[in-house]
Amino acid sequence: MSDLSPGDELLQWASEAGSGKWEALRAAAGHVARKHGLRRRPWLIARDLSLLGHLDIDWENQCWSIASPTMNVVPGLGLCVVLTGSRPYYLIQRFRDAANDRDVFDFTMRQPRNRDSAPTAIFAKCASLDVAKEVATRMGANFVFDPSTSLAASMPSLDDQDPQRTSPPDFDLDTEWFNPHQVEWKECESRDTPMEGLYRQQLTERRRHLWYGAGKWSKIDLAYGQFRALRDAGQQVMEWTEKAANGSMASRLEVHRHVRLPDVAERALTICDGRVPVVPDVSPTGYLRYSNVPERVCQSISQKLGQTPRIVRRGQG
Amino acid sequence: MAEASSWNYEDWSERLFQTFFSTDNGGEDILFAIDDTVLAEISALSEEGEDGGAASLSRAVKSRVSGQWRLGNISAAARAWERRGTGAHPALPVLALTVLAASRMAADESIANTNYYVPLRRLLDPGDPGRGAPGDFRDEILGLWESVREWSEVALEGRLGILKADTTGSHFPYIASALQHAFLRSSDLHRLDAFFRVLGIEPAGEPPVGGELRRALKSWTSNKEEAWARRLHKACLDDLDNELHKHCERLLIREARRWDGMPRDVMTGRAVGRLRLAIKSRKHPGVQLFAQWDERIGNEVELVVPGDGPSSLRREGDSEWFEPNPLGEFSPPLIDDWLSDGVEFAGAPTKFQLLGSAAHVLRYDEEMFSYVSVDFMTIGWTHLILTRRKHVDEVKNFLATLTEDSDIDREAATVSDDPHLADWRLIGPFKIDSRPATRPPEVLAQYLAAGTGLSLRLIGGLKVGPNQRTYLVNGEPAIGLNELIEDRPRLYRVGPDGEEVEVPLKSEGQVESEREEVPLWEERLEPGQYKIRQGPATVRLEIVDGIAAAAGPGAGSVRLNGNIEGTVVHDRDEVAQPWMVKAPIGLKESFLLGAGGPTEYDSVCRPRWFNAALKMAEGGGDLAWRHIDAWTSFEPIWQVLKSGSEGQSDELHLLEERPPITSEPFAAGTSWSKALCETALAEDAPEAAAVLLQAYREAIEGNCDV
Repeated sequence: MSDLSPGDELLQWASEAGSGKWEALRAAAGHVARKHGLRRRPWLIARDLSLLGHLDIDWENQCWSIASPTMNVVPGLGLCVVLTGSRPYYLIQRFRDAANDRDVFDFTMRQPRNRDSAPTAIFAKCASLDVAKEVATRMGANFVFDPSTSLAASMPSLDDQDPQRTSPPDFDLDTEWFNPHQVEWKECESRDTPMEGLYRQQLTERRRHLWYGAGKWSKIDLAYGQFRALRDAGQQVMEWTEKAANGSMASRLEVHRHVRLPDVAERALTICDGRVPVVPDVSPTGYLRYSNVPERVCQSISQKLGQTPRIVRRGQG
Repeated sequence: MAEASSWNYEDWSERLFQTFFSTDNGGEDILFAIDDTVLAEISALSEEGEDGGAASLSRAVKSRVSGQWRLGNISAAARAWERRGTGAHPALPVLALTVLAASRMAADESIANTNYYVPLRRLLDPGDPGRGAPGDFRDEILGLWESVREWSEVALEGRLGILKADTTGSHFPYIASALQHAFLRSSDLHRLDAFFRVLGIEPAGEPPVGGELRRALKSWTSNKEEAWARRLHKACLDDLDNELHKHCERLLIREARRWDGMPRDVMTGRAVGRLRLAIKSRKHPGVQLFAQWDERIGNEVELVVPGDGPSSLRREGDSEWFEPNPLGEFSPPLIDDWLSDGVEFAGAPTKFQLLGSAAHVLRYDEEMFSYVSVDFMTIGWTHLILTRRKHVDEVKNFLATLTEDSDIDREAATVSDDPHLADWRLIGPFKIDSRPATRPPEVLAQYLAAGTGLSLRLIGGLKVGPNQRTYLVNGEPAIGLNELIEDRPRLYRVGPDGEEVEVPLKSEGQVESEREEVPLWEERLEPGQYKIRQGPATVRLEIVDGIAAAAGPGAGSVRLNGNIEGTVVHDRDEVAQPWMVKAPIGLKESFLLGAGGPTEYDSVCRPRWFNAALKMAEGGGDLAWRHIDAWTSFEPIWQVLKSGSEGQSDELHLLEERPPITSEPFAAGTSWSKALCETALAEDAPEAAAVLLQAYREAIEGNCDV
């Protein structure tokens, strides 16, 4: 077996293919899962690529495209530039050639244990910004500063969501309601008057999500539906901790693991250290942890999702 | 028309025309497959004896050609008929008789099974002792076949099919014309539906070559006992003297090309509508019947529904279903019977059919808000399985290997309280997440691709580029082994000049008779051309490192929220860029001071946490910094480098020569002013730094007390 993770192989294929319909991406994700004995749904494997900023998926139209290769200068990483977007074979060759310089040290980091099927993070530690720019130019990549701030700023807020009316779900068909107080899904046992809030049904490969409010049903994105329910219930699911002054610990944002962040928010957070969130070893509350998240990015995202995160200053516990 | 036993020559002409010529055969060759059974079916008479259909045909033909076999009479009649040009061709009965003779070859063990003329002669006169061609048979027969071909292909423009005999290259042209129609029945070809499904042929796809099809059909029919299977098997036997090979292969290719994957009536070959089981949900598992629309049927159907009599079904809009749905209320005993044995509802323009089975697979249909029965399981979709209690465990055990977090483990539910349906159980809902790696249980085999394609199939893999069989390094597919071929697969690397060098399969030792696929990724193939061979079946593939320079076609065409491509936000204002400053010493923070006073004060540190993460990562590594990026909202002018060790002093470094911005003095006692006042200038600082530092200190309220 190669040393590449399933996500690495899928990313290389998607980079070579460029774009296509979801069916092709699903088939490729299914293949790498089978090859590696990975028991993970194809769309979750593909989603890892999306939230790491490698490709964009239009779920509505069932199509996707790889993003252009991009070198990201991320605050707090000490000029360890993160490579996102396309990674075809010949581009990686050019990257290695460009990094073959005494002012550049390229290195990779596997994703955290809980999600090590995702694509390996690739970095280039550059001696200066000029050196980083030169690497990007030589390999033909975009060069971007502070992508997390831009992404967070571009993310739509809860109030930007435009609900689309739809027909009521059939409660006989495995329908669940999101309980915002307990932050978990509950099976709907009754066909009586539905509770207000978020519902889900798994009828096809991906679940469909519906919002019920004021006697009307509408389609809604899972993430925005959950945060709308949480906002209505006054429930907080985010906590930010500042970094240690001596650089020994990064700042971090923790989000309840049963809550889905919008794709753009996930991307804004994962690019902060180039990796998917970890499940902390000691996590009685079941949170996902994003590292090196600036406070302003946390505030931008949480404000758009109707959250008031708990802020922890070092030394305050 | 008179009673069939007394049909005259014209009656038989008309009947044969109606039976074999139809728009279903438009543009295609007609298999004029006449034998005793077919004649009995056409005439509704018996298969044998003086009262049989064959005897009736023989009498009719004898009335025109006499016992002397004067086929010239038919030729003359045909020429006269051609001038009128309407109705059935007058040669059809006599040609049918010649095919009937071919079907009777080898029926009498006292005659060589290759002798054609003896059974032919005995059709008109059972006591005929002759053994050669009778009468003017050799002079006339090919002309009659050609006359019929011209009529069906030219006069009728092939609209009802083309009846012809190909005698090209045959050693026995007078016999070959009849033989090529006699070795199979039309209804035998309608049995090929199941064969094509086993092969994994895709409707509208290009089938394998005829020789491969024939050999595979021979294998498939080898253990089947039904008469149709024996005929098909015999037609496929390898025999150097058997001139029927090419006809058999031509027919198989034709049938494979016209196969649309849809059910057809075995006898007539006409389209059959499909009845589907429907179950609302696991909680409401009552079994109903829906009628499925398909494009071959049209939008309106008259159906005879048991208990309800004739019903008019109609397709509304673009629906995939006829209405009304469900078709009626049926009693539990009927449902039980239909689930097992199937049922047909008579109808026009066609009947509708539900196939009986020991297990039915149902998939959720969003249009009907119900689970409906389907022909195949689909990866990623939610299914239910309705099966008898005795199959539940083996089905669940098998499905458990294909599903992730589904409801397979839930106890199978009953579908009705009625004792007639008490034995049926509902499994699921569940989704299969992968292709089966083991042979499915018998009751599920028809719902899962068997992986036995005749041409070797390449399964999965990471395909790139316009060529169908180009794969990435590390993206090798699996080989779908052909169950109809006993040989083991062999892998060859093909050189630039076409030379083939065998590459031993690492997984060969694991290839057992039960194994259906060989994962090529275990071979870790280098870039190059390869060929895989299993017996007569071969497939080529190419492995490449990559094809795209920076990204494949269409990269960046999908953008989230209209402007986000990966980590790039298009059409957005420039964001702040960092400043380059000296890296802090060791574990210390370093402070940055701007020209604007106490608010322009920030710190920077080495990301030691990230260095630690790298050290722990696979491959390890260590990061070092001389300079580092600082993301302050102001331009740093001064930097305080905290001392890295005991006894050393902190140092103030000038980063930019820029005087303080002040109309009012800057407040003293702030971190900013303390840093400027209390930190010694670095020893290597230029003279200008000392001058500028003095200006800053003077801008601080009350100046520095140092």
